[in-house]
Amino acid sequence: MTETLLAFAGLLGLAFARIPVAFSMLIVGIAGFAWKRGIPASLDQLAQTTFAAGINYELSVVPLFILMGNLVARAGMSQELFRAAYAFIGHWRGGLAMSTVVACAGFGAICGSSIATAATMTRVAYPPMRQLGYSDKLAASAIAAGGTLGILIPPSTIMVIYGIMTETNIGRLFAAGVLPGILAAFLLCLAVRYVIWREPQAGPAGARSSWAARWRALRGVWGVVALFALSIGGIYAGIFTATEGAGIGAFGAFVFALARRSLSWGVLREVLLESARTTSMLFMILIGALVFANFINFTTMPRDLQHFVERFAVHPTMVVAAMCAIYVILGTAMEELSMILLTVPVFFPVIVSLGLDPVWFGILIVVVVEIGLISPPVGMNLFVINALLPHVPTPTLFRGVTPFVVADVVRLAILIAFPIISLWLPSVLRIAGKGY
Amino acid sequence: MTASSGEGRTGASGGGLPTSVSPLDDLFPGRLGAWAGWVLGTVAATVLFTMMVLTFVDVTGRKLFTHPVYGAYEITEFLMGALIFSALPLVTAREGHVTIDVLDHLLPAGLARWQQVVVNTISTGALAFVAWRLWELSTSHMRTHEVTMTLRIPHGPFSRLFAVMAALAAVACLVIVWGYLSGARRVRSASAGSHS
Repeated sequence: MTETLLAFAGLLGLAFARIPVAFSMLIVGIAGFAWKRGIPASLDQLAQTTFAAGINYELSVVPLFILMGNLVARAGMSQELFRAAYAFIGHWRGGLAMSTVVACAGFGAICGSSIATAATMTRVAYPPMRQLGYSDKLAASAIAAGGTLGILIPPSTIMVIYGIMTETNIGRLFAAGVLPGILAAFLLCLAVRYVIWREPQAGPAGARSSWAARWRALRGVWGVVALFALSIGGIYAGIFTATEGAGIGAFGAFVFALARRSLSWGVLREVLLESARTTSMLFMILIGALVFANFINFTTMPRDLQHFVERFAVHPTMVVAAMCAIYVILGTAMEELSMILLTVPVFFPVIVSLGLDPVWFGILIVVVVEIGLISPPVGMNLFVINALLPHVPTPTLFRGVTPFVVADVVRLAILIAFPIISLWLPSVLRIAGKGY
Repeated sequence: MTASSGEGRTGASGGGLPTSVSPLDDLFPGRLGAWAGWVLGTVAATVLFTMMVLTFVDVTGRKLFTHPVYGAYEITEFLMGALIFSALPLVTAREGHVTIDVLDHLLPAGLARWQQVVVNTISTGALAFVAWRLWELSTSHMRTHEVTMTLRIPHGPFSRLFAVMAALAAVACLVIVWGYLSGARRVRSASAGSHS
C-alpha cells in the first residue's frame, strides 16, 4: 500500500512539474516494475507493452472516431443543427443558449470529441448570440458546457478507451450514454433558465419561427441523422462492432465533407494529420498508463482497496459516490484522460467485486470527465473557448460556467441514484461483440 | 493543463479555414527539419486515410458481398502502429504532449526557461529509452523471424520502424532543449490543447 501511494505521489510530483503526463507515468511505471520484479523484467515489459499497444486492432476505433469528428466539424454540419434547434426554441428567453446546448447534443451524436464540438459550435452559435445582445458570460459558457456532450452522447473517445481498458462492450457503453445525454441537455437548459432568471438581460428572446420554417429547418439535419443511423445505429442493431461502425462513420463523414465541398487537398491533409497527431498523443498517454498499470497490478493496492471496502461493509453506492467525488476534485486540476487511465486499474476491480455494472460505472466516468472539462482552473473546454474567443476574459468565463458545473454535479447525483437511466437502453438492444 | 499551442490552433480551425504550411509542422528548425516534418506528416495522413478506406471496404465487403478483405485485421494492426509512431516526432516537435501547468505561475519568470530545459531533457531521455527498448525488441523479432498468422507479415521491420521513430522524436526533443538553452525558443503561456 505504502509503495503504491509513494508511486502515485512521485507520479503527481513529476506531472505537476510539467513533465508530460505520458512520460511521468512511463518513468514511475518502469521504476516501480523494476523494483517489484527486477530490471530485466521491467525492460521487457516496456518494449512488449509499447509494441502490443501500438499494433492493436481494437484500438483502431480511436483514430477512426477522431477522424470522423474532425471531418464533420469541417463539413459544417453543426450549422443545420443550430438552425433547427433555433427554429423551435429560439424565441424563448435564453433560447439561443438553449439552442446551442441542443445543437451540441445533436452534434455529439456524430462526434466523439468534446473539444471538436465546442470548437465548431463556437463558430456557429457565438456570432448569432452576440448579435442578439447575449452577454459574453452566458454565450461562452453555454458553448463550453454544451460542448462536453460530445463525449457523453455516442460516439465517444473516452468511452472507447474505457471500454478497451476494462474489456467493457463499447456498443453497450454507446447505448448507455443516450438517456444520460438527453438528461444532461435538459439540465443544462435549466441552468440557462436559472441564469436568465438572475440576469434577464443576459439572454434576450429571438424571433419566433413559423411552423413551415421549423419543418424546413428540421429537414436540414438529415445528414446528421443519416450519419448517426449508419454508424452508431449499425452498432446498436448489432450489425457492426464498434471498430466497424467507426470505419463506416469516418468514411461517411468523408463523403459528406466532399459533397459539401469543404475539402481541398490541403484541408484534407490537415484534417488527417490533426487526427493522427491527436491519436499519437492519446496513445503515448495510453502506453504510459499501461506500463504504470502493469506495475500497480503487482502491488497489493487493488486488493487492499477491495478488502478495505469489504471490511467496513460500505454501501456500494457510497463507494461509487466517493470515487466520483475524488474524480470531480481531481478533475479541477488534472487532465481528465490521464486521471481516468491512472485510477481505473485501482478502482475498477472494486467496482466488479461489488457486483456493480461496469457499463454504468463507465457512464459515471464520462460524466466526471465532462465536469472536469469545464471546471476551473484546468478545463480543456475552457481553454478551447479561451483560444477561440480571446476577448472574453478568463474570470468572466470561470464565473459563467458555475451554474453549468452545478447542473452537471446534479446530473451525476441523479445517475448514481438511478442506474436504470444508463442501463435501460443497453438492456433492450442486441449489441454485438465481446465484453460485459 | 495544455497540449501545445499548435494543437490548439489547428483544433480551433475546424470551419474549413485555409491551412497554410506552418512552422509548427517542422520537425526542427531549418530546411531539413521542414522537409522531414512534411514527409512524416504526409505519411501519417496517408496511413490514416488508408486505414479508413480499408475498414470501409472490408466492412461493406463482408456485410454486403460476404467477401471481406483478406487479412484486413492484420493490415489495420500495422497501419495503427505506423500511424501512432510516424506522428510521434511531430507531436513531440510542437511540444504537443499533454502537460499539467497549473503550478507554473508559482515559478519565478526567470526560472521558467530552465524548467523547460529540465523537462525536455527528461522527455528526451524517456523517448530515447523507449527507442532503445524497441530497437532491442526488433532485433529479437528479426532473429526469431516472428510473423503474423494470416498474412505472415514480419514483426521485425515494424518494431524497427517504431524504434527509429521514437529515436527521431528523441532528437526533436533534444533540439527543443537546445532551443531553450540558446534562447531561440521562448516559453509559452497556457493555451488550448486537443483531445477527449
